[in-house]
Amino acid sequence: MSLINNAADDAVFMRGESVAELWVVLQEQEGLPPEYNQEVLAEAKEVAAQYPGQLQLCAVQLRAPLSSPVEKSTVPFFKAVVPERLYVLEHPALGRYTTEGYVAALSWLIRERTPALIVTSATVNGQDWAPRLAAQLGLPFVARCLRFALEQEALLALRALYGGRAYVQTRTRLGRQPALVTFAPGTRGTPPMTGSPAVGLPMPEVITYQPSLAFEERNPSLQHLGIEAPSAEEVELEAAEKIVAGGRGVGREGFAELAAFARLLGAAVGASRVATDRGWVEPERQIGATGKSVSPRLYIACGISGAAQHTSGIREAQTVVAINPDRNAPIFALADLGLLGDAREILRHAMQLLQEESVGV
Amino acid sequence: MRIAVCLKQAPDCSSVYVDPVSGEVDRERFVQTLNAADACALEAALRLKEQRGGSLFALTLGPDESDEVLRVALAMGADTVERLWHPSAVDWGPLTIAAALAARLHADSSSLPDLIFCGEQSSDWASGTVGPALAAYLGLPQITGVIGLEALPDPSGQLLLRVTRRLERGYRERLLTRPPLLLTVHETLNEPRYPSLPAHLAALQATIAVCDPLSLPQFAPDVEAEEATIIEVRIPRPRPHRLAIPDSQLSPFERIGEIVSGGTSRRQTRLLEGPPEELAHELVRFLKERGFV
Repeated sequence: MSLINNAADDAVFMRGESVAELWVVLQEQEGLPPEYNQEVLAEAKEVAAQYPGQLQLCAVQLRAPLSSPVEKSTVPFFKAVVPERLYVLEHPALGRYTTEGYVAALSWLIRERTPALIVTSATVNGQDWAPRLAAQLGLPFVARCLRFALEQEALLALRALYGGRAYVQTRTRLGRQPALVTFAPGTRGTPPMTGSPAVGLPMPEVITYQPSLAFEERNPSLQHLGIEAPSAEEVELEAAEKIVAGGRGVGREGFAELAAFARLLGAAVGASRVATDRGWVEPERQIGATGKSVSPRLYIACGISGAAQHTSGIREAQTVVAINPDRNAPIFALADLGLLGDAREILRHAMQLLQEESVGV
Repeated sequence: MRIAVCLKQAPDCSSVYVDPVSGEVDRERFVQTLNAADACALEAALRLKEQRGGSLFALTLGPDESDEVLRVALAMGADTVERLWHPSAVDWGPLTIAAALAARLHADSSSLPDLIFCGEQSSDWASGTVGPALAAYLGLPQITGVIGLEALPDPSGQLLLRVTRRLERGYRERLLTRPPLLLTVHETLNEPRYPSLPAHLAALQATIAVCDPLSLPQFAPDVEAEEATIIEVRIPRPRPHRLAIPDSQLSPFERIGEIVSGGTSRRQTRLLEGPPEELAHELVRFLKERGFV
């Protein structure tokens, strides 16, 4: 995406001011990888860098007021990219995600500060509040961008069409209102976050607001029952950090034990084709040439001999453990640790050991 | 109970062909179907209607060919259908489309439907915007990304819905709610039914009502403020497919072994045998050493 002119003096989004703001709305949710916020920040930083000194990168965090002052230091975990400013919006209704709460809070903050551009990750919740906010305030809105850039009078965006079969570049004209963009998660693929927050980087200037939002509870009958973590059989295989997979050697009954072990380990359940074909597990759980390719940090293959059709799906696995009674099973050549024996028995004992320890501690 | 469902005709993604040189999408090849998520929305609406009684109104915005999706809706069991169209609507973005749909639903002499169903996103642009925007224009609460829907018995006789939303990485949010409400449905919610042949034939004969959205009192699109213009369409660079090439230094036997292993790199394997208790100990120790437990 090319930007021709870096001087933003006449740009529509500056509105005659000397400094405009580019917001990244941070999202927090159980199960939501923090990298989703990081990649939006990184992408937004690049856009802001096109207009040095004129476009300021700001992050927006919505949350419930903290009960104790000690917690005040829970500034979001910024890594690599630190915004220049952090707006913290506190309201009791923002303790968990609600459409009305987010729309009301952000409408208030937009009226207060009027940024040039608002970006957020196109997560399920991001795609819930962003279009509604755009419709309510009449903002130009571009959904699920792969890349975006600001021109003098327009917003350029790259988007996927027809399920990724084509890419389209669009131009959205900017008006006096800020534009709203959701960024397709996983597009930039920031490396997973490990270690400590950015050291040596300047911390953002934190501005906290506690507005009294006058949003009426639109649907008083809407009752939140809770958020459930996925069971071992439901974790998405592609995103799983640990996978325990079973094959012919595990058997129909063995899969229940295998799933119990996976749950204990916080891992996802995978399977070879034999297991899915026989209906021991859901077909979505199949790993290999006709199934999914996975890239976990830990892969435990139980009762899987290691045919090429299966192992081609685990090329990216970092640590592989194989349990099989057959000494000549090809899976052993690919494993870091090989255990010769019946997978069900070994898993049962290992589960006991793990449980004893967790009780002992 | 009155239910409305908003449908869209969209090309089947597998029928999409983009010329790699010109970047032009070959529209002649499109196989137009009822968008998958919308079909699930329709099915969910039908199931509720069958369970609780009431009427189902199916609405679409699109050119003449879009009559097809309304015929599908009729065959599956919708009571009334209507198509909105104006030639200028080819350029409308999702926000304008949502405004037109809202104007049409407002135009009914009676009040708004109790429940409105939409697909979460279409197979072509996938912006997922029309549902939430429509809810905003109608002033209704919304629940998006629905993957579970259940009507619960309620002593007051009112409809009580237990809704499951899809969040990231397999997480689920459960909600309890009552109409009026707008729901956007994910395409895994249900398996849409096949209409019976007589119903299908009857739907082919039906006349489809067409309405010009610009004639609706509550709809005044800003013709100047087009939402987005397309600059260019191109095909994505294909994802590199990594081929496993065996090391030419190896003997033929080993090379075949490498091909057979599917290109997964060989590792230094520590192979252990013994009674299962011991092996379990080893496994747990290994997992701890590597920091997995």
